[in-house]
Amino acid sequence: METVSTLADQATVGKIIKNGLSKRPVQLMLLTLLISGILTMLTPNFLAQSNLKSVAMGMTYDLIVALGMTYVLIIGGLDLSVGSNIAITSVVTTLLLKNGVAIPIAILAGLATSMIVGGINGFFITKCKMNPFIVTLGTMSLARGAAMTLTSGYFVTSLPKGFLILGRGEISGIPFPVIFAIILVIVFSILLNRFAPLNRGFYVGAHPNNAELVGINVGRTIFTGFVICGLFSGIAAIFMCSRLAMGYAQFGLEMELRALAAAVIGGAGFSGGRGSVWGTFFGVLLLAIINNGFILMDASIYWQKVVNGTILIVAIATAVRNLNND
Amino acid sequence: MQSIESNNHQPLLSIRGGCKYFGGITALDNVDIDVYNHEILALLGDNGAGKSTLIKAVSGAHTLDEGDIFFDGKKVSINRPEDAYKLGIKTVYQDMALFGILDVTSNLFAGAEYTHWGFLQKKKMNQEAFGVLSNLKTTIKTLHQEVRSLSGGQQHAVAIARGVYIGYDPRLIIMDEPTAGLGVKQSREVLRLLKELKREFAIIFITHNLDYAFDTADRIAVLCGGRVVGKRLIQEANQTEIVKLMMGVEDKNNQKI
Ligand SMILES: Nc1ncnc2c1ncn2[C@@H]1O[C@H](COP(=O)(O)OP(=O)(O)O)[C@@H](O)[C@H]1O
Ligand SMILES: [Mg+2]
Repeated sequence: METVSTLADQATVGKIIKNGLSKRPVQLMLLTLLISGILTMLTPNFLAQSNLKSVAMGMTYDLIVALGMTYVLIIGGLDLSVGSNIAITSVVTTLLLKNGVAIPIAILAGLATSMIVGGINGFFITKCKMNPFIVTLGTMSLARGAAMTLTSGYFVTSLPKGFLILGRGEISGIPFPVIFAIILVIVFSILLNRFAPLNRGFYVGAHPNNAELVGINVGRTIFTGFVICGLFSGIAAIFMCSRLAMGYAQFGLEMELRALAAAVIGGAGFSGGRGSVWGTFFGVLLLAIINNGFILMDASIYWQKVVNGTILIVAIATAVRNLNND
Repeated sequence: MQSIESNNHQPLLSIRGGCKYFGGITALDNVDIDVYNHEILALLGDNGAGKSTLIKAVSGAHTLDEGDIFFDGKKVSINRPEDAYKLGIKTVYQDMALFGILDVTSNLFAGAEYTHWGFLQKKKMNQEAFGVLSNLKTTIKTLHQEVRSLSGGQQHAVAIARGVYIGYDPRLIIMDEPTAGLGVKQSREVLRLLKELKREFAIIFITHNLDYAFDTADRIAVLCGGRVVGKRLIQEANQTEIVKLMMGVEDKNNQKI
């Protein structure tokens, strides 16, 4: 999980560098720098402040959701319902706001909704021993269906001004959601590595039976993991509604694929016990920069989709292959 | 209830009337067992005799369907591994129960991490891991490699270190087939360790190997089909008879002891 002092060897500078280069986040960071360098040479606008800001803002929702996905993958699960969770949370929150419910209460109700979706996933997976793929595929269409039903497919608009600050406010030119996401990455990476109840997810994912044997409450860890993942989707949904000043049942479409791909690129896998916050961060950043490159170079939207789809398939196929090899 | 005379009067651990069912299978059938301090009890039996099930009931991995467990003369309920740890019952499982893709320190402290306000004390754990593994004279080079990349013997050292030296202080140490898959030299090393541990603790040693049992044990209990079919002091036991018991050949002297 983390580099510790060696038993016998002395850690030399050469070894530290070699060790670092074998780590996924470091590899991804170098790759991101390389692609950024290429884009800087090819297009004059890449380093423009406005462009960097739009890249940062564009990747924020994916990042928050992908962190939840990473944890679910670490505990040996999978959550396909994250995108639909964004839809239902956005709809519940904005409908409450539109009907005059106080802003903090509407936000809390939205977050509670997202955690309930996660809790439903966790319940069926731990109590009924059902496959996460099946369960979350079910909640994926259930949550989106509920969102559509509640709104008849229309946007939910006319939200109170005060609510919009959350997504549109800035500190020295950096939007609130970006600041929040950066803090979340730092705090969550510390908690995941240091805070025992979260860290036990690694044991649970690596070998659930043995985790049970050493006294770890496997069911509770998995259940909590799905609730956390749901909550992260909910947080992304609140920022999205606030920034776009609406709720919509089509929010978060294909989010599960991007979050999954980013987490997997970042080192998580389907066999559990693996994944890192910084790996996922660079996974999301990499996907965002590649997409930005397409936009800057005026490539056709179809090509963009084809390339994106290819990256997702290759990332996920690699993870599946690793699962079979483990 | 009859008991074998022993140099200690009160057993450290007793099971009375232990039963465990898996669906239609009776894995344990009315089992009575006593384990005394500073003694090695060898638990013998063929594959499927119920040895692992019995010790899992003591280690908190399973609970008995019927029967009572006494520890230090008091009735205890062991429903979770933590209950067993707290009593000082520590187990090295048959398949070692390691986490292959996690590093050595994580494996050593699995489920028994040092924490402060819920936060892992990694430095403290690494230092202790270093100390324990050095004492065991392992050839493990670094604490941060995946355990599955270690050799069989090294993995075994990690499992034993976790079962005996890390976390709660042991009073009863259970080793389920600790020599399975080991070479002769490594097995001898394990037997030597068992005898050393016996000076401080009570030991349950599960094995297939009669030579190893006779080499180390003070007493022998034989399981067959979930029942205890024989208990012998080592001085009274002979290998031919024990083999017969293990194979389920009825022994008319059985009920005498
Ligand atoms: N978790 C389980 N579920 C169902 N049956 C089990 C389980 N564990 C053990 N058994 C059965 O209980 C019996 C005793 O098994 P076990 O205690 O593993 O034997 P041993 O360790 O002596 O080889 C066997 O018939 C085995 O198939
Ligand atoms: Mg066994």
